Amino acid sequence: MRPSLISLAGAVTGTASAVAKADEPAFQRLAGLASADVSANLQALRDDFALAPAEAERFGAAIAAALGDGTAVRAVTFALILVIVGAGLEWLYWTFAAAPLRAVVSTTATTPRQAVGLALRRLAYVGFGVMLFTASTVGAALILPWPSNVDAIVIAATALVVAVRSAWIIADVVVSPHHPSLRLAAIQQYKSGPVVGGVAWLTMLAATAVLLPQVLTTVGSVPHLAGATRVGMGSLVTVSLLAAVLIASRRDDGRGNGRRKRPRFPKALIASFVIVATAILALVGGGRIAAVLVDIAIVAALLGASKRIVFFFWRDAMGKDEEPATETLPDMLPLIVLAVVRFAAVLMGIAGLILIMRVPLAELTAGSNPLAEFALHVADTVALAFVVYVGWIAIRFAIDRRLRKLAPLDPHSAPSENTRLLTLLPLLRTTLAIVFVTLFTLSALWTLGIEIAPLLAGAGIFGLAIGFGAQTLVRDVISGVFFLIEDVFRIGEYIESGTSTKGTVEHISFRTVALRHHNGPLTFVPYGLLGTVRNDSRDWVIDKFNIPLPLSVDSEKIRKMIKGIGEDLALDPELGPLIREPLKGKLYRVDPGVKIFRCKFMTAPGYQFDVRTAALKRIEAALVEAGISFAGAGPQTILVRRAPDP
Amino acid sequence: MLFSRLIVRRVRLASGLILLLFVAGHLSNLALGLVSVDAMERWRGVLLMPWQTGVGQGLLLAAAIVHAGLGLASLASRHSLVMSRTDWVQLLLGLATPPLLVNHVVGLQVTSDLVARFNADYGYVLAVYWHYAPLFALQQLLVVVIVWAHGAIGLYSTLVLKRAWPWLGPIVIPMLFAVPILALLGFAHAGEAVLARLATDADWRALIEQNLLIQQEMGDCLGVIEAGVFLVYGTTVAAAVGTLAAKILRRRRIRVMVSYDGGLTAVGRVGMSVLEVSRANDIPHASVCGGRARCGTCRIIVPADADLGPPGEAELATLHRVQAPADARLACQAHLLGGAVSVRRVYPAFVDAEAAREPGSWLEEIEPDLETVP
Repeated sequence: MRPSLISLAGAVTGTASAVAKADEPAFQRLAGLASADVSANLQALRDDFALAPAEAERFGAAIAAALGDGTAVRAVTFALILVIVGAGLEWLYWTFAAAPLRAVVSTTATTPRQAVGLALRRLAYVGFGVMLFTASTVGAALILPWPSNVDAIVIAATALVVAVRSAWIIADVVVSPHHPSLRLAAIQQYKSGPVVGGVAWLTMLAATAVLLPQVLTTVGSVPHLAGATRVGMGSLVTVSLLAAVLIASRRDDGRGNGRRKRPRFPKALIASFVIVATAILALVGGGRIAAVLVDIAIVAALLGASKRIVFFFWRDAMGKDEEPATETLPDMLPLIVLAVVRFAAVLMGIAGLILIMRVPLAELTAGSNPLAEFALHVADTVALAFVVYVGWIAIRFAIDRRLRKLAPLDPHSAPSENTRLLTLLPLLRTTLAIVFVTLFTLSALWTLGIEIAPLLAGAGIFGLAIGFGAQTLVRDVISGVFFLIEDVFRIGEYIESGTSTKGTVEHISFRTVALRHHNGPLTFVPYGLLGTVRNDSRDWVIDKFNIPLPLSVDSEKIRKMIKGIGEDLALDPELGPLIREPLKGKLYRVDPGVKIFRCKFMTAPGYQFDVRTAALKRIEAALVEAGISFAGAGPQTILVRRAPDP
Repeated sequence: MLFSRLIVRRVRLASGLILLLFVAGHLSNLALGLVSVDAMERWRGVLLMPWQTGVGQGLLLAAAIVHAGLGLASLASRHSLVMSRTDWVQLLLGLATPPLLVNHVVGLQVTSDLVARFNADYGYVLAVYWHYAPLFALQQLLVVVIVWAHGAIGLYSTLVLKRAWPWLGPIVIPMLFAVPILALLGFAHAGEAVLARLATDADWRALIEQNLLIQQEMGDCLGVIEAGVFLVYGTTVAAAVGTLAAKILRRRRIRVMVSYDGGLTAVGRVGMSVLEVSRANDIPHASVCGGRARCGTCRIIVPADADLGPPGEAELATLHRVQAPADARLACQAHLLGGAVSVRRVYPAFVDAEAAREPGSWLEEIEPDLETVP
């Protein structure tokens, strides 16, 4: 499928020899390349420092000459015009924009997300000032007739100023030392000022380390002096970074009374190690390897801090504690944002790697560079994982929230319209989890270039073997699916299966349904064995019972009496609402010595017993009142009272 | 204080305006370099000559000394270094000006005052700056920007509080940009011309070098004068800064609590004004003029028995102008005496200069900003 990665697929399927063959020359090549690079770089370093003093002298002489022939004076004159135009226009802007900016910063943010909104407005105000400064400076610089060679210096100086100012305003808006309520990062007040200053200082050093050697090379054509300067500035940056790490890792609160913290991962140590390693790599191994290390370190740091950063903005949702509370389920949004942040971090890291490797775009699309292609595949997989994860979180939260909104499930309460959801949602959640994981695994393997067709085919054959042994299992699962789709029963319903097992449905799983018999025992019935299901809990039930009365009773009178009782029952506050059709009775049969009256009523399912009890109670009372007794089953004793003879 | 603060303030403003007028004329003269060096020379008689007469020189010198002295005196009379960004810029630019400018003034004006045959025309000055002493040129270029920025900011801060600003602004602002830019362009253009003439016109070159010799002969004398100026200036600055530092150090432990409307509290030192306390503690507090008792936007309502220094003449005048009630004070003038104070700010922190020009306009209900309502 993807030829470059067939070796990887081979490793999975067991042909390890292909791996060895493919990798051996690559390692050798890499090692050879590195050693050649190192010696060449060291030689270049030695040259730089040996030749720099002479070049510095030459450069000084050139500057002195430029002073005498008017070049320098002219350049400084024009540079000051740039300052007047750039700084002046920005000042003019601030005479209008200072008041709105003060309005923003004097607002007290109540939630971290509101602070984000305010920070964006603040950044817009300040950023527009810097943009105005940049645009007017560059515009004026384009008009002025610069002496030759000076334009490079002007461009570098402008770039330096803009870089430092941009870093400064971003740090100032994020850390906000003067307006703690607008702060966007979990930084203590006493650290906030130094953080902003440190960021500006480091940016200044780094930008100088990049720009100054360039200017020296192009303007003064003193490449060795430029190289020496690069090394010097680079060391300064390294030392400053180390100092920043050291200061940032102090545990006390600036007044000497440090809070005791749990021992943690020694981040400061690792960071110092990475900084020093980067510096050494940049010195001897060339910039590219150092850049790769920096790229990976930044992505790792971002991934490590992402949770803290994201949940900082949902502090109110997370409670006051800094540590996220584990018992309460966090909101869905921060989790999705967290996923987005992590995904973006990884993606940017990969993009950075591709940029650092300077893979030409043609190779990237044609797929002729195996490393770049692999990076792309990894990016694909990460994207897939991201989509799957976000989808899974969204579905899980939707289901969980719905479930929480519905009442907690009590299998013995009256079934309501929510029972179907309560039955299906947990099942759906488990099913989706399995489907997602399976799909993701297969897609990831496919994206990485591993042939999944044989895997699937293998699974097919294997599955056939299992299938014979698992016929009943499959039957159970499949019939379960159809029982659920056809809504044959829900949790809380009383059913009778074809095997005459009966009870209230308490639990539904993939293979079985658990039925609670009214006497207590819990029966687990596989779906395959359920057969005909009689659901006693649907819509309505009709109940009928007989009343035997003596032959002497007036049938019509009894019928009216029972009807009256039925109407009374329908008005009963408790039972009335459950009755669909009121109680009625009529003469059903006349047997020797007994008239049988049949009574009938319709109720909601499960309540027929209550209603019947109440009806019988009232009928009996009414009969006693009317002086009628129930007919006995045996021969009747008939008392004949003879009238006394006159 | 010897004079009332109102008079001091007016004198300071007037001396600054005199200096700015002179600088504007000088820079306009320089801008004529865009036409030719001859044009510069011709217009020098109109633009600069009045200042080079005895009266003119006396006026300028007096203005410079008064302006610098009053500036340093106001620095010395501060109670803390809590200032707005604009004030910091003004202070640093102002402090930098005299040392950078002294060799220009002494080298040219004093020399031509002392030596009659010394001819400090534009051709000579430009030749020196462009060819013979380029480092001095860089220094003077810097001083052009510094002085002009100081003057422009001062002028703007004064004028923006005036009722006439809405129509005055569109006239003044372009001038604030045009004058220094044209002057620098004129300097560059004339410099090219002078350099070309130096290379071709040998007679003129000899004349210039002869002139240069006079100045070099005067070198020791000029050096003494410059050293004297530096000494006096340095001593004065040191005295001003020392006074301020001593005041801060002496009172650094005497803390005073200030409580604001909205439940905010802040801690300041004895002697600091309420506005300084607000600034030092990042409490939003309007102040358009930056604490000079001119705009009235920093005003606060205080209880009658508040432990604050009594209002001065300038404060009373401003309070009267903005028709403030009797219990109002200007936060920039209300100095803490030692007791805790409770104040209520009148204006929101984000008022602009319009609130100073039209005192009533900002006091009506301010409509809530939808995006900032929590």
